[in-house]
Amino acid sequence: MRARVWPLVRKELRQMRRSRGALLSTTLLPLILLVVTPGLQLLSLREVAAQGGLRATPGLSPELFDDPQTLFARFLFPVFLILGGLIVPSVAATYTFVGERERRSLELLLSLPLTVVDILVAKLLAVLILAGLVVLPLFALDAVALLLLRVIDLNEAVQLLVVLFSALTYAVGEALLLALLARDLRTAQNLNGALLVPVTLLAGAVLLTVPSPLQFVAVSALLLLGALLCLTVGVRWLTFERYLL
Amino acid sequence: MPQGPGMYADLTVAEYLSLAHDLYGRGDSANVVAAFSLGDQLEKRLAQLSGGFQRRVVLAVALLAEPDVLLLDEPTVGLDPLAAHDVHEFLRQAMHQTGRTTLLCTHNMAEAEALCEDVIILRDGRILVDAPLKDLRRRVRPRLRLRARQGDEALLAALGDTAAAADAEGGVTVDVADPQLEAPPLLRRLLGQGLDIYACEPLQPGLEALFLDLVRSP
Repeated sequence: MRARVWPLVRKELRQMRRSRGALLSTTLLPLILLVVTPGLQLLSLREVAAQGGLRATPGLSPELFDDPQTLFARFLFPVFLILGGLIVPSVAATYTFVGERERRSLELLLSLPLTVVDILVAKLLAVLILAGLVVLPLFALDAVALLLLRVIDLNEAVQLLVVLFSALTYAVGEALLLALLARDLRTAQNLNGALLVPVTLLAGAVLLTVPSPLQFVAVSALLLLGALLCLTVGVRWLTFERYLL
Repeated sequence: MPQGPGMYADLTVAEYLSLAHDLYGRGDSANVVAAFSLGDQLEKRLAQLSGGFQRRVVLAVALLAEPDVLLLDEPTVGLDPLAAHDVHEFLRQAMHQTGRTTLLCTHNMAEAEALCEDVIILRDGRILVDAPLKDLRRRVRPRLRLRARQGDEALLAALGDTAAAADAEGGVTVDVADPQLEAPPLLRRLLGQGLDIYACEPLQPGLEALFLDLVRSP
């Protein structure tokens, strides 16, 4: 990677830090998705367990419903983890890519010694760094709490971390498509919906139907495959004109 | 330097110059800050600057790495006359002090005349003219503008067969081959006919006139 990408990454991070809207969205949403909601769910499920447990729905992985804590650890928490991993980069990408277009400041960058690839790589890296800085500490907090409560073991914590990285990778691929296709905020939001909702539903379906211990491997593979697809489409479509115009 | 670029509302002048410096890997920021009088603006965000100062910053960034060739796309479009004048002054400095080759793309003929030595006029992607400005001026027949106390009609009548026409800005314009040689005998003749000529000015043929001639000709 060219050294000149890093000054641009710093510029992107500085701009995101100064944007109140981007900063609030990228910190509050994951806080709700990764800490508040799972915490409340865990408390409710423990209550349910105390009252006699759950009943499995026919056709779905029955082992999930043996114990409310298993349902939480193998389905509910991973779904929120995936959502958190997908949403933070997509919000940041909307700000950095669409914001640059709407400000018409892309020309300023292109009059500097940079290629379109440098600009895209710098923006994607900035998105990934921001998402990592926000999501990983929250995940660490969750993991420590769940390990202490014995809801998950260390092996599951590592697998969930892989799921999170896969979700982040998918979101970066999605961000590249967003950069190439979205000309304004509304298009970006529609694209985010079109690319994030199906993959979240599909990931949920995989978690429900694939038996343990393969479910985390399967969902990671699904997300990485989606990321590969997005990146392949993005790179094949990537032209100077498509990004600039 | 792009035409009327957007601005980073959330970066300061110092941060933008620093970004450009890091990307070029060379350049003397202090030098361009002094040259473009940006010292008092360094901590201001780009969005807080006037259009003229924003254009100065973009120009300063373009010159930061001391390029051999400077490409300018409509550098004063959208600026008020005072800001445009400032930008012209800075451009003259940038071009003449270092002898740097500058390619200026503009629709503003007055700007091209003020800044350029050589002119290329394009139409429909074809080069219509490629020549030094002084040669182009010679292609347009020079004229004299005369004003008489008796009025334009009396002046036209006195000029008789001489190629002359009433000018939109007042007075009468007369086609001459060489104003310096032809003006004195023409004035003597008109004064001799009893006309009170109170103004006689040679009109420098402008690039705009030449441009209009060229694009209107079939």
